[in-house]
Amino acid sequence: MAIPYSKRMLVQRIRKHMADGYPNDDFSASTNEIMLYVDQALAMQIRAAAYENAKVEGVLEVPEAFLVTFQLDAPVYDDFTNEWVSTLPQTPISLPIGYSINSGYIADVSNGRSQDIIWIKGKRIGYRRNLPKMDGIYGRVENNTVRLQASNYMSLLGLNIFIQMPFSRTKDLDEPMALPDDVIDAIFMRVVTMLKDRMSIPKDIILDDLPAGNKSS
Amino acid sequence: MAWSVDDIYRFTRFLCNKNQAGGISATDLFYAWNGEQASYHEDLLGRWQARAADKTGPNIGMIQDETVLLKLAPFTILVNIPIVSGYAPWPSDFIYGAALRINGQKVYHFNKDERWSIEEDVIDPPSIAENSYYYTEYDKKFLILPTNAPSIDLDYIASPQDIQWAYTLDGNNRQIYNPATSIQPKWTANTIIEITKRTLKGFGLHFSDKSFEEFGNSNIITGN
Repeated sequence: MAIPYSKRMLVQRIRKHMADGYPNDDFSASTNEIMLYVDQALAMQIRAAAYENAKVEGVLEVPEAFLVTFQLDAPVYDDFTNEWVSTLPQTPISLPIGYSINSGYIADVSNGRSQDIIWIKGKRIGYRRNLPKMDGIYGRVENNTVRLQASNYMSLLGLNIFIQMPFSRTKDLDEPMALPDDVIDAIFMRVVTMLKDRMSIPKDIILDDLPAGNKSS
Repeated sequence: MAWSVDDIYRFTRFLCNKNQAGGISATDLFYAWNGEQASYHEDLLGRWQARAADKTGPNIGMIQDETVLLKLAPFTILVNIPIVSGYAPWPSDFIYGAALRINGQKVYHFNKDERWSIEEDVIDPPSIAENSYYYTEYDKKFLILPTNAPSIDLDYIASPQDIQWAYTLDGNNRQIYNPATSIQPKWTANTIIEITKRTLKGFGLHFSDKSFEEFGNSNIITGN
């Protein structure tokens, strides 16, 4: 029987592991907080998996299990730069462009999928404008925004933009996790280590104006 | 067989070997037994701050093992309390909160000096939509965050009700046990016997009889 492995299950597993069974009222780490630890660990594992593949195959490769495709919000025209701007579902993780964002394209029911967006590093934009370029949509990423421009400067108004990228955040606790099973172990271990660290910090809630810990006298 | 307050009275008289007229009145029983009942209840709940605040030993709270929980089961109550203006009043017999939930979700406890950080929290801000709730205690009530939460489900340990050996007078003005108006203990028979034996300590003081006190004390220490 295959059970869809959701992040909620992973969080509960971590809580039960930490609490030796069902957590009680004294267990202070909330679901949201543990999720932040999980997402943090997942981002590290995406990077680790990409670089591990590079060791084996000689090229960076993000395992397909990490990839998720999103339809972006309708792009908004930027008067100053003549670019069309939309927001990504998360700031891409620190892999080179082409890996932090795997692919992007325009699609609709009538015409299907377009050619892929051609990604250019932000710092190359000025230089590339002086070079001949093939037809298509060029894109660059800045923080959590994507900025697009057609080679012939045509309008992108109303187009459906799709982006495929490794996704390390949580938008739904209950859907199957977008990651290969073999990295669950590393995420689990990393989160448990961080939670142990968090929970073993000495606490003192006795309001006696004395420092925490045992008295020396 | 569940022991009635009359059984307790008879057993106490047997232990003291006194007859009703000369020795232990229903009032004596009321004072001695209910006092010991409260002490025994406290023993089960845990003696708070049993050690001095020198931070060298743990403070002893309620030990939630099956034996203790079963003995306290007659006093363990689940109740739903509406929240009014952010406050949920305690039940009148409330002495210890075992668990607190809102909409079936965990409610985090906070100390008064943590309130500011909870209210500016961005990971788990007080929220009904996110099922993120917090509580702290004030005078006979809980303050709940967010203050517009509807109601709390509270598991709590109630204080034991004072037992009462009620009576009517017969033609010779003798006290006749009246079960209808008496208040019966909620404890199991075994616990009633133990509490009754513990009352001997109080009767020892009452009668200035060391043997009673020693018996009561030995019972408190050994449990039999």
